[in-house]
Amino acid sequence: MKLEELAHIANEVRQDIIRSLLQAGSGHSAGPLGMADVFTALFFEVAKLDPQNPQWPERDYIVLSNGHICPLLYAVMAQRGFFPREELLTLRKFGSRLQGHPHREALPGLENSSGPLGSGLSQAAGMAYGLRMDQKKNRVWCLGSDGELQEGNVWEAAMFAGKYRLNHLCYIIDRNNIQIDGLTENVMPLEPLRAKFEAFNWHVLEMNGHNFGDILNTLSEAKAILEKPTCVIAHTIPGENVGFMEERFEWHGKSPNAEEAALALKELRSLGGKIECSDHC
Amino acid sequence: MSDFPLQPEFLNPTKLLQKPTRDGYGMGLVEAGEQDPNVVALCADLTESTRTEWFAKKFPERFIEVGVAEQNLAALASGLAAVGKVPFMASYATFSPGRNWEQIRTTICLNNQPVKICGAHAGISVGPDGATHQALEDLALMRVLPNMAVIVPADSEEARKATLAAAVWPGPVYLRFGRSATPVFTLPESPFKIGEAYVLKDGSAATIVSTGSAGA
Repeated sequence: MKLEELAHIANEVRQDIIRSLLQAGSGHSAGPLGMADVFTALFFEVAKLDPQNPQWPERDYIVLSNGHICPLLYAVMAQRGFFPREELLTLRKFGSRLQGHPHREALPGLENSSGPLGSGLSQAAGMAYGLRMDQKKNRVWCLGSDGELQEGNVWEAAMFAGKYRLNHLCYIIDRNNIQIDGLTENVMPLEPLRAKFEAFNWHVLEMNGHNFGDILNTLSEAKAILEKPTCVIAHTIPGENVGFMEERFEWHGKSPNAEEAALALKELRSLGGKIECSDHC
Repeated sequence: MSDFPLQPEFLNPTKLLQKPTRDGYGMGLVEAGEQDPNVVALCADLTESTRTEWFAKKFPERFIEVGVAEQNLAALASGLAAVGKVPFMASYATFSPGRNWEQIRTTICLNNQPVKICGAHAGISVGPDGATHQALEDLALMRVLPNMAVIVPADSEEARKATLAAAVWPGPVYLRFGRSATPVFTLPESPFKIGEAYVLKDGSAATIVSTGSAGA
């Protein structure tokens, strides 16, 4: 798939995030918008998946650890064909399969339930270990956030994966520098982050989480590392491509109202004002 | 009339063999491993005293040492179950499910993964270790969780059977074991089924209901 096509899909995904959050009336905005490019690359180009057969035994496992960015997970799954896009408008509503944090039992294609932070990497490590026991080649992609690294459970898992050299495990960290109470480096500093994972015997890569060429190159390199598990630090801008949300921790756990959603959709549809866009967009 | 098969001297504990229920776990785990190649055992640095050691010696390739990290122990077991394994994860009850309750709730119960949580040294049977090691809350913590089956074997023979029953139970199970040796009053032919109670002795004066080694 061409990089332009991926960028187009990511833009559609961002619009679906805004629409579903508007309908939901609550939920997280900044993280989902910030990781939209990485998720699009993973779901459309990098990971082995079959939306028609979510239980395909040869599939890659995608484990979302920071469950609160599920508006993005749902939007990208719908774009990929796991379920109809219209269903995105049921986000967080009573009876919906799209719970406010992912619930594995509710929706085919979800590998895990999450919301409480810090346990995704352990689950992903368990999957990678179990698959290796059976000489299977499936990859396990764990997606987590930077604020989540303040959970001790993450480092228990990091120690384990380093000891057992789980080379089919890739942990992608959304390094967007924000969490609910402010900037990560003010709330509880994480740096030097790269050195921390290297010290835990991981291979560490860094990438620009908004450059598809860089994303594809980096994740391809991650696949080529045979000695160790790989940690990819994805540098992203929270709220990316919606100007009034970008880099603002206030938008971590908030959804847009009708006026804000209209403004956000217009900005996305017009590619930030670069092209004309009709009024109803 | 009760027809539950019991040791002939079951009312005279001093004449019965004394064994801790964790021994039954160790034996049952080895049998479960023989019956199903997907059975794996995890332990958090308590391999000998939880009797996981017996499995680890027989099936070293299916034993996973997690170190002193009970949160990882639980969530890791969930991941193993997600790819088709039947994980038995053992520690002391005060640490697991004591410390990792939320991981058990979210990654095992809400995911409905068939992980078997084995809490050894539960209750006051670990008396000399003091209050921090006496898990008095584990049953309450496990009983409130969705999809969770909770089993407290009455003696080591029943613990062996409970371990085998847990291995084929489709969902999460909590198995509670004690440290001290207690009388073995059931027989290999005594029935055991998850969710069933048995009448040990008929009478008319009073009804005594018990669970675990209190039955002895």
